[in-house]
Amino acid sequence: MKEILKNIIQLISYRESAGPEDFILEENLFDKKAVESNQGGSGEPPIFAEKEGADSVNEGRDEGSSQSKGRVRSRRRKKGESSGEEPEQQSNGGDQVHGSLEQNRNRIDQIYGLPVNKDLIVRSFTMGTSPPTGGFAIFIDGLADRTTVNLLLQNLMVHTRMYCNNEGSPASYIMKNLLPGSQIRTLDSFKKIADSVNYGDTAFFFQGSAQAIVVETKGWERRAVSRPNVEQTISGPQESFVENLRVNTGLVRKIIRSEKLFTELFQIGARFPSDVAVMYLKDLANPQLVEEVKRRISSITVDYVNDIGILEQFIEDDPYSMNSQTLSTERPDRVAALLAEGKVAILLGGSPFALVVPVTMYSQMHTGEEVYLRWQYGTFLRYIRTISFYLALLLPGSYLAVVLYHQEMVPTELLLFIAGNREKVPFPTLVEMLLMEFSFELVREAGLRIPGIIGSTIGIVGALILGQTAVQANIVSPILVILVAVTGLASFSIPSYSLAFAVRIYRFFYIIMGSVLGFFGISIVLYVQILLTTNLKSFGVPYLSPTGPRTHSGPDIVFRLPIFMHRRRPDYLNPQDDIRMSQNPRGWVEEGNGGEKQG
Amino acid sequence: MRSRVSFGMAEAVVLLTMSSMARIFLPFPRYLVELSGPAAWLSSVAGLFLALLQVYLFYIILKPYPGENIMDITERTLGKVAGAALNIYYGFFFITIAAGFTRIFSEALLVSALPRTPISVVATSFMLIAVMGAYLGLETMARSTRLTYPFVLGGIVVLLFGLLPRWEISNLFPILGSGPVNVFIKGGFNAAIVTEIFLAAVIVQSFKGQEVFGKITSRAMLMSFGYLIILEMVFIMTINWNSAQESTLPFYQLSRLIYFGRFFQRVESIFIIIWSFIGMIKISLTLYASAFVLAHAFRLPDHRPLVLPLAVIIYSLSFLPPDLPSSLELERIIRMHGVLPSIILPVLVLVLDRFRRRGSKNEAS
Amino acid sequence: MRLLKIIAPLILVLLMAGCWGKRETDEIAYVLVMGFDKGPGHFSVISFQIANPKAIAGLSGGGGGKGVGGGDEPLFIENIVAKLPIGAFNLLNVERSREISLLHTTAFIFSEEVARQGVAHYLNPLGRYRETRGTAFVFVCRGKASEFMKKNQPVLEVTPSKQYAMLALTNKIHGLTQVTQFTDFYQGSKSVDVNPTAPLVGISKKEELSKSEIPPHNKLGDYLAGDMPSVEKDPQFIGTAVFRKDRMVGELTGDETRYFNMIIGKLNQSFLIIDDPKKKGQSVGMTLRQARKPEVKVNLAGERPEIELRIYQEPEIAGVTSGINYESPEMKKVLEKALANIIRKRCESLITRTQEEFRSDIFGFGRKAKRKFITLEKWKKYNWDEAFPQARVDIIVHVKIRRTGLMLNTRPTQ
Repeated sequence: MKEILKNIIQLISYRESAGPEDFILEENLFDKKAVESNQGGSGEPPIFAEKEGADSVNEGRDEGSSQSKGRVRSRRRKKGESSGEEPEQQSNGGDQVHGSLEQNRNRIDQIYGLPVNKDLIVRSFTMGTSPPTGGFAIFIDGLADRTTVNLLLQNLMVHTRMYCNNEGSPASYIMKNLLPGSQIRTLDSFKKIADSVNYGDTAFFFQGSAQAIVVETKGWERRAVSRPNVEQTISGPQESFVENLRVNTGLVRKIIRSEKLFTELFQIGARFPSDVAVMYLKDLANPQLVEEVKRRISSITVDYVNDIGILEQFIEDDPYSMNSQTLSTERPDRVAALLAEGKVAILLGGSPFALVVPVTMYSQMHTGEEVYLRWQYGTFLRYIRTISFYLALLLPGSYLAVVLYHQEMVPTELLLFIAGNREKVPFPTLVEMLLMEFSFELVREAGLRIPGIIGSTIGIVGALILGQTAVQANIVSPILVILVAVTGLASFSIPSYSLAFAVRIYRFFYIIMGSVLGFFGISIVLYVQILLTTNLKSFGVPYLSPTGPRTHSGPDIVFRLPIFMHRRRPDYLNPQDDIRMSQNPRGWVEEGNGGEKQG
Repeated sequence: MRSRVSFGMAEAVVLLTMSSMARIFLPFPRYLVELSGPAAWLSSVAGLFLALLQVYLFYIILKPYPGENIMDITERTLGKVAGAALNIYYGFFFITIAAGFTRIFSEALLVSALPRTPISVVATSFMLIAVMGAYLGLETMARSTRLTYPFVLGGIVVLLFGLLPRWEISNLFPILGSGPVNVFIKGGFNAAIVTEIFLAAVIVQSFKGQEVFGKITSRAMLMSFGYLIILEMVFIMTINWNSAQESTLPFYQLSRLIYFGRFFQRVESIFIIIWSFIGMIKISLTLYASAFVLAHAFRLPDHRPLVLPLAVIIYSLSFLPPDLPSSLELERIIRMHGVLPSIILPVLVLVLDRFRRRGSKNEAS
Repeated sequence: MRLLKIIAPLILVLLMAGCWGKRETDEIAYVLVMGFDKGPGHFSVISFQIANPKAIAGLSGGGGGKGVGGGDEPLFIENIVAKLPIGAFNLLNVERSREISLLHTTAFIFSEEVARQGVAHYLNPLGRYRETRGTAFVFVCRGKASEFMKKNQPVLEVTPSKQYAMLALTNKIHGLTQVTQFTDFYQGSKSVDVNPTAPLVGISKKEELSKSEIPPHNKLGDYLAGDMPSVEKDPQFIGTAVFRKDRMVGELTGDETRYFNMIIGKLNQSFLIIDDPKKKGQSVGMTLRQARKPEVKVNLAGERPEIELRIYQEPEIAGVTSGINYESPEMKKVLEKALANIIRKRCESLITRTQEEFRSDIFGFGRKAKRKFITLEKWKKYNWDEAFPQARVDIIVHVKIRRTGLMLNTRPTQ
């Protein structure tokens, strides 16, 4: 009885919660100027301290300022500024490897926070030299390839016979003679050692050596090279990039087998670096272009770049423009083709997409499909894509303009039918259209995240709901459903994801202006879009070449001439060598002498 | 001084052509028919010759001074003060032209496409676009013109030839219309006043200088007058000159008559897109020119700050005439008085220039 | 970026002020046909045939049926107006809840009374109005236009506008009427060189052929609209109304219209029955086709204009009731000559009628005459209006029978 009473009273009375308080992130008490804070007691200074004059870190703002919108003038490099790949930090002069194993060991413990941080493995060994030398190896479990590490250790521990001739430093001797790793170097700065170990290398410290040896032993689990997900074609190779930088460069390299294919590596990201590879053909690409690309990449000062999309936003000319100024692709064959035209490719470790610059709107509308097919089919495909581009952009806006302002354009029967169907719908046409567009975008967005099992069911439900029932419930008229569906399909046919997005957003402007000012509104937005797009430059190349400024590359814009007529490379790139075919690329076609190659 | 923007010959030609074709879409062809009857197209031919003469005139003015545009030459010939005053006058000339065109274009749009929209909305849109175009610069405008001209010119050709079933060649007779004097002299004179030649002389440095000035401008004039001639011919052939005089907007009237069966009729709204394009190009180009001229006259390094205030001035000026017929009248007067900067003053400059040079030659010898 | 901050609010203000001039489709009543009748005094009665979109889309009361019929029907309003059709719109809105739009008006019907008094004061406001279609058709109605519109319920079509548009097509087959579009009508009423014409329409009044009336058997289609005997009270499109400037001055029967079309070169195909030249009482049926456009030569040298007209026809033999083998070369020539004769005679009588009775040049000979003058002054001084009725017209007809159908050698029935 008493229990029950107690329980009831407990139920209805107020109790202060005895649980822990909610977790609140306090405002830090450190120096406000530092962007980073809370270094965790390692005593290292903030990575980006504000200094007068030199790089000020404003997140995302491009260097320099300009007075007109959309026009970015990159700041000319001031004298004395270094072109270092890493942001300025305190020099590592005092952080060298010692000769004593103990001290090295302690330093490693300190840096990595052992024994709390369980990722780093420290393996001590003794080499079979006379006298025996001690040492230890460090590597990160999961990043380093166990087999290789075993092999290296085996070599050092078992197969080593060293005679004590101290000619050079023991480290260089060991490096030259004893360690069979394929990529190997000596480092003496703890920072650099830590960087390498973080990426999967193994570092060896030896007694009495003031240098450590770092061996490349990368070998973590990765996705195998598979079919492209986003850019599928019927003809052509079916490989796509993976997340590993070296595999990606390898994929490109195996198509372009030339010693003139240069890959320059950069590291960006101050806190933890990511590798960026810039690939170009040395004897083909415009050196100024390459220089500009390298300059922009190496001048990025940010703490972490984890995807190539972020890199793109940092280096593009006009971040406020709606159209993207780089081409992102996941197919190595496409990258190779573009490199062979004289463009520059940028790859980031950890991202399965590559960026190619400079790009024109026409390149963004091309796929490999029509290159690998015959020119008639290619041209046909291109024309269909062009028409769908216009449809995706203009169709809803034009429909609104016609139905609201210019009803005389519609044939009488159709107009009466549209009017009849609209009699029942309570919303004005603009609201109807926006509703349908929004629900289509909803379907598109939600479709990305539906788990696979119920995905197809939801698809049917969505189609039913949005199509059939909405019409029958008199929320929309059937014409509109057709229209929105066609527009959606048309926007899917644009190969470049960024361009498709741009088109989707522009479409809304057209809808609004079409319903406000009819065809005049449409022409206003059209003109503004043309002005803004013509003004855009992608790494120095006008975005709408070769029709913006009329340059020479005729054979491959929309209409595609036969492949043996593509004699010249695109002119707007100003490559070092224009000609890519001889006068008569089909040698077997007779020119008087039976099939001999000419030119 | 200011940055040398440069674009190629083809772009310059297209830009000037599209800008000077603007009057085709306005009540101007109707006025020619009123003057010359069925021989309005002959007036345009006469106008073409006069325009080419104008081109030649400017060519010989610009020739001895490579690297300078007409304003520099004016200052050089007439001295700093008088030259600057004359340049300011040129600037105002452009302003008035722009105001007139804005008004007439907006009125045309109201009459044809958007009957209930207040005119201020249309004029504001035109002005905003013009500001954007003038801000982004001549290069962008030329490039975008280059991009769109196949559609625009193609659309005009489609329209004009789409009326083929309605062409009635006897409507072109009597050949000389209201008499040779009226047709050639009065009509030709009216047709020939084109401000684009002067505009080309102002921006001459943007396209590679005087060697190509003659070629570019004459080609542009040929093309735009060609379109005017074809339009007049089709206009008269389709609608008898008697009834043709009555229509406010000849181009719109023509596009209303297209009839290819039951489905393809009354598609005149598509032509609204074409002609608003040309209107926007013309107004932004004239706005740019006036900003440019005034910036030069006042020795400013950049024309861009002047764009917005000038746009406001043009906008307010465009509302001055109380109604459409009076604004047409006013525009005609302005065009007439455009003879002054287009012909008389350059002749004056030329004469003085030659005088001075002969004088200096005498001194030197 | 700053510019964006300035422009964006402006745009917002622009948009928030509302959409001007936007007209949703369900705020408008579409007028399909307009009719003009004479009212009391100076007034006119203007009728509108308005489409009911609900019914057409088949949504109310099981619609369908006659298309525009079903539960709802196209509406008829009669309005009394002071001479101008535009004023009628306002009065119409007193009764109906939607704004009138002429954007889809495909036909204007003037009653005969109105036409005879002159239609200029209707044409002017219609021509000025922005929404009028220049390609709409113009008809003249025998009787009252409002009655015609009421009785015109096309069985085969959904809307009357389609019916009128199809007229242009069917006219190509029979040639017994002609098709005039609004802008041609308008221009013709103002120009000197040609005068307008309009097709005649009417509702059939006669039920059946009375005994005393024998229609002339060799003038196929020699009726005016409404005169052709027919059991159904159907609208009939046959014949032409002739105008002089903007007043109607006479009518042509269907048969005469055929020759009119022939002279102006718009006769695509027509069926003609002529007397058999060899056997009296029998007929030969021919399908006339135009070989080339007729050539007109005008000579203004003398006192009166001399017009030479050459017509080229290419008929096909469609039927021979007498059984004579007209397909053979000699007989063909006989037939050709007979046909040419008939055509020539009838064209001559038509032109004479135009000159004497109507005194209006509906064929467009004035266009050819215009070419002889250099300036407008001289042309105006010549005064074609007065000169044409004096003109002498020579007609030369070339007939060549090309094909004879599926029978190449008619055998007589034994």
